[in-house]
Amino acid sequence: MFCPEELTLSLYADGELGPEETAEIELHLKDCEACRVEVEALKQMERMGRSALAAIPANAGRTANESRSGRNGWQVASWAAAALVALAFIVLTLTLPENQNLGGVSGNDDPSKAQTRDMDPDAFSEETFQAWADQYKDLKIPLVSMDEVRKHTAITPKETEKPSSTL
Amino acid sequence: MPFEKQVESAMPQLTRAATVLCRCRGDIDDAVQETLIRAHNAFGNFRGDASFFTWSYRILLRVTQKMNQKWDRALPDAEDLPMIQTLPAVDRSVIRDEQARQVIDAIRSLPGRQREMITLHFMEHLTYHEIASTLEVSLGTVKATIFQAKKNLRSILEKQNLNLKSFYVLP
Repeated sequence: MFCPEELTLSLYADGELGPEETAEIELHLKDCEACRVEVEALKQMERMGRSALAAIPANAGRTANESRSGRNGWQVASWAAAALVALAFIVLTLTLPENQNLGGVSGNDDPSKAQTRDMDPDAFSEETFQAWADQYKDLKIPLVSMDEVRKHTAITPKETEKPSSTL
Repeated sequence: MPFEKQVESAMPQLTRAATVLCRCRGDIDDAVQETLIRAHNAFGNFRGDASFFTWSYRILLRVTQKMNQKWDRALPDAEDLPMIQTLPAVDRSVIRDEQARQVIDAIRSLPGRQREMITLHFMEHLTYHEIASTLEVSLGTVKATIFQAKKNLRSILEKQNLNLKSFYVLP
């Protein structure tokens, strides 16, 4: 008994043989265990391939692109949170020194004491001083120069700072 | 059937085929879109002898071959290497099923002609005559190529110790 070629068994498994050849193979398979196993393996391969292709998601392209961009929901949320924290920090940094300087002064306070208590030498400027001067103009408090202020508040001008003009 | 309806029904199959045939996963959508544009332009030639998917599969082959050649040329010293035919493994995020991914990777590791023919063979229940007609090759070529592809696939999967008998079967 001669077993058919592998190619012939493959064609039989795919139903590609004519009626006569098919009948011959089926007759052979009744007596040949090895060829039956081979044909079954070929049919299993067919089912396996079809199943694997059917398992590919219909939106595989979109899935791939989302994965490639690397931006899922959590990453977007974390970026948004980081942006909010950064924005809050910037707002606080810009507003806090000015509030500290002016917030400690009330109408009943002695300006010189207030300066001593609250003034930040880096934040204190000619503009701030002018603002104070305008605020206390009606109280007839004598205006003093920046040098006088520094003298009373023990703040030494920086070496790089320009000499302040007398008001 | 109008073009839009044909596209609607063939779209999932085209995407699956492109997933097997594209070298780069980022090309899958582009390949399908390009195929559909070309299919739209040539829709007047579609006689309906075969399904729309089978007819557009030939266009998809040409599109993916061109896209893959682009990547081959991008490789360093590509001119000194023999023709690169096999494709790299599919990313885990694209096909989550472990066993299915192993089989698809095995198909992608086949030489180009075997990969293209076996994919069409698995996707559509076509006779060898229909495959030969679709791909415009001889019947003998189809017989030999599919036989060799299955032989190679079996060898690859057995090396991966994939238990064929435990593989799920479509209803």
